[in-house]
Amino acid sequence: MMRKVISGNQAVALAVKLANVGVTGIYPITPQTTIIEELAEMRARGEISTEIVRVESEHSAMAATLGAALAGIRAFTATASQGLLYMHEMVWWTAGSRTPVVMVVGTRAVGPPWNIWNEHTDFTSERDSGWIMAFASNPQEALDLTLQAFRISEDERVFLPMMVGMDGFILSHTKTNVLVPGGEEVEEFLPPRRQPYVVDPEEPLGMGNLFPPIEYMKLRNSIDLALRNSEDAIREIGRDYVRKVNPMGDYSSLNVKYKLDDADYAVVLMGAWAGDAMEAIDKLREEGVKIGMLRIRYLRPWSEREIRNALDGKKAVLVLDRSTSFGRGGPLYVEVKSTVADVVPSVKGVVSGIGGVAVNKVDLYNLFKKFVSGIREDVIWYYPEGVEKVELRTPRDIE
Amino acid sequence: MLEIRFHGRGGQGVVTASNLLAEACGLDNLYSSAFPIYGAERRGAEIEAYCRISDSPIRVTSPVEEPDYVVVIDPSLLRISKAVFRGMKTTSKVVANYSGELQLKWRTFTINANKIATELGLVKSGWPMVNVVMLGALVRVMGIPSLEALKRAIEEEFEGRVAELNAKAVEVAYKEVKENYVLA
Amino acid sequence: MSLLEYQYFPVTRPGKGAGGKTGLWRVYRPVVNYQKCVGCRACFMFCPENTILLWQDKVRVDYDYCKGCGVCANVCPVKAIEMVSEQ
Repeated sequence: MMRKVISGNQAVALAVKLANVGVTGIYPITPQTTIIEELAEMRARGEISTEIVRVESEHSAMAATLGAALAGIRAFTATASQGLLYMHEMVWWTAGSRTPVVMVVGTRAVGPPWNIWNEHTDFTSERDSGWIMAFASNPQEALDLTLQAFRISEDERVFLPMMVGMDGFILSHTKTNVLVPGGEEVEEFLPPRRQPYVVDPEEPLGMGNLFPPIEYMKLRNSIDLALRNSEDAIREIGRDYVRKVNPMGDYSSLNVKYKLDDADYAVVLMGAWAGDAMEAIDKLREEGVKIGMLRIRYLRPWSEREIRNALDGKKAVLVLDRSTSFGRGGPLYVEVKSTVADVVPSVKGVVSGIGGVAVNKVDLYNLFKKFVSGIREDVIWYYPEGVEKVELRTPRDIE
Repeated sequence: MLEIRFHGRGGQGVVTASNLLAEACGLDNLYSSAFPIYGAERRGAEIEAYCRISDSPIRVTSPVEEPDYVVVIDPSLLRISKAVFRGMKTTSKVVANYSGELQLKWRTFTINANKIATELGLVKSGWPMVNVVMLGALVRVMGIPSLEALKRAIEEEFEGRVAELNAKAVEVAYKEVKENYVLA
Repeated sequence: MSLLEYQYFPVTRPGKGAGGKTGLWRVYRPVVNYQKCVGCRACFMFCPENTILLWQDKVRVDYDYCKGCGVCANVCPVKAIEMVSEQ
């Protein structure tokens, strides 16, 4: 274990190196690009032997990655925003094929208009694709989750691809202290690749041929069961990771509680702004407000049991979404509400931090204070201090 | 926790400066984080970068709005920028690349970094590279990280003659930075 | 590797008779005229169901599985395959 000051993207590249990835299909897109740049540099220096396949689009990046994975090779790719949207079809093919693959998404807003900054809508829009979906809240977690992703994805209870999200720029480009494991520790944690079947010209098979309706339905059912069964695998692998690789980490549960058990009020969110939220919660606690946080680390599988247990009996829950589900607030709000509506009297949703709008600890403190004193609307769009009012104008109004 | 905000222009190595500071702190076994606000950067555009230093893990990931130190890498920003002094507390300090005396509301330290860089031949495409010079001054004013750690971080970031010149520049700035006293 | 009971994959492996005895689907059967057949194996190459079998220097048809599509008769350069009604 070595302590280094590195960015989230560098941390992910190191995880890919440590996992001994055989093939990566790559196509650049901000803010993920430095992951693959870092891998290309490692390859140029002879530190890794990963085959780097440069393609002409993200659709092909995933196709190349899936192709390698089907042939029995540990494979990785990374993308963001429009890239993930363009890759969408192959994202579903990969999950449907039940082939272990790992992808990192440096989250970014979706156009138009062009916006390179952070929000989670690209990531959350893949929530029904059948992938295991984890989201980091700091560069250390990005490294840890990427390494765990290979083992989770390759676990016989799972056999599904896994996506690791991290906030674009806020995590991908922030340099901070990261404990980087050594090769031996990882070797002990990560067994050789396993997958349900391998495409091999010596023993031909067809993947994804036309299946009759009932067989198709059974396949979709199987993905659902694998995703549900992945919960236990994730906890078990998380604990093993702490034992063998990073003793400073806490991966015994899918989601993470902060000052929640004795809290009357709970905040639910995902990603990097958990850091500022913890500071805001500490300040409110000092003022005597019993408030805590549940950080969603796994969007899929959605651990209904963990989330219900964590929020059961709270007076009110506030769900923060850094992504949109137009007309319904945000995806987390919809999920949380459907999970706890019968055990929590009030579940409110907040959409904020969209398109890179910075939401800091002071903004969150103000928001949480407002929440504790009672928000009338079910869902609000929250603009941080300094932004007084949104003026919704059509071009016709602009002189 | 110490919060530092760097102000400069695209092409002056503002991001590299905050990264180097964070790396040097890491070498001194401190916790640190560094990040910029990314925009559509072009040479000459106003750039901000942030660095936090602490003896415990840093949780905050948002931009620095109430800095303990503001580092002004480009002197012209003192004249034209609205962003440089925002959110400053009475205890905040300013470290500026400036050739004369500065009279501000806060404790202010100046260093003629343009001159140091030019004299050492730290010039790229006609611009004196003052980012690392400013770190020498900042490290002196803050007292952390150690000058040794900063020089090690420079050796890891740069190569050959550039590394050598930057290490020398840091030493000069460390010695020459001076506080500007407000005259009563 | 033994797989967990709920795990099911979108995979098919080539095998005889996965769709039953498809020979029953046949309306016209290909019949090889050995007087004309030159053993070029074009029919063998083109048969979509792999039911043209190599036999001595020439070919024969696996009538259990041949669906009678007629591709072989169509590609035969010497018109050695005749499609004959099953009725």
